[in-house]
Amino acid sequence: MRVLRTLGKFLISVGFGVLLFVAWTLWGTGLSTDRAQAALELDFGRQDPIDARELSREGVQSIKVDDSFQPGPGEAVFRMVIPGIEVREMVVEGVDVESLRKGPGHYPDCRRGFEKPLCTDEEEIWPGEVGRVIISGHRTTYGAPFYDIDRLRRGDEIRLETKWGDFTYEVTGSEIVPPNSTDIATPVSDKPELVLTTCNPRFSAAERLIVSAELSDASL
Amino acid sequence: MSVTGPSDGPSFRKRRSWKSRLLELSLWVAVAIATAVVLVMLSEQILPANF
Repeated sequence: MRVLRTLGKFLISVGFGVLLFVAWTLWGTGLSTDRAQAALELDFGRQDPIDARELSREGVQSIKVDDSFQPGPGEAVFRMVIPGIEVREMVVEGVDVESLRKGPGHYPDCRRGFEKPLCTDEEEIWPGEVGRVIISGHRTTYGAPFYDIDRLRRGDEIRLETKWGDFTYEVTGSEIVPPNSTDIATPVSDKPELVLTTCNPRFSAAERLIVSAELSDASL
Repeated sequence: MSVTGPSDGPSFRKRRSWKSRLLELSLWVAVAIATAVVLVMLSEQILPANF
């Protein structure tokens, strides 16, 4: 009888431990992300302006960011504002586990020490450039920046504020793909595009939710 | 003549001191916290990268 009572108390304690873990995962992780975001805002504010030149190729207006802009993993690269779902986040370079703990991550190219499959062999695309800017973010943990991303509708605005200008993209659509789908992770495109990726549904990684947008306005 | 066994009489349970109860409670709280810490440490393996 005494053994059973002790076992029962032990299982109840373990149950409370699991609840603590769930609470930490869903809300506690957001505390460290909030601190990281505050530090990234300060870093971003201290960065010098970055050169970008205007291009007009085959009738498509775009820009080319100076090649000297080579941020390291986890560094602030630009600010993302999505008014429709009240998102205002500093985006960091890289989509590795550590970088995504700080905020949404910009998909990098593999030439600067990033490791596959979390980088691309193609040249990475910055806001305003021809090609696909790819940003990944957490859906339910670490501040959950993309928690409401499924509410975005065609025509909704996504603003990227960079050190070379501000760029407004308009949502063109969304789709749900298998988690191992790599088609969307290619930055190659013949027009300036933006892709946001996250897990779907909430609290699960069974699928990926992809939101696509096209550049609609730019100011250098 | 009546025969009474030990179970028929009044039972006396020794009351545990508050220190003993507090110690036991602390133990179970420690077990709960240890469980949570182990799960957090394992969470990189448990949770997918973009959960």
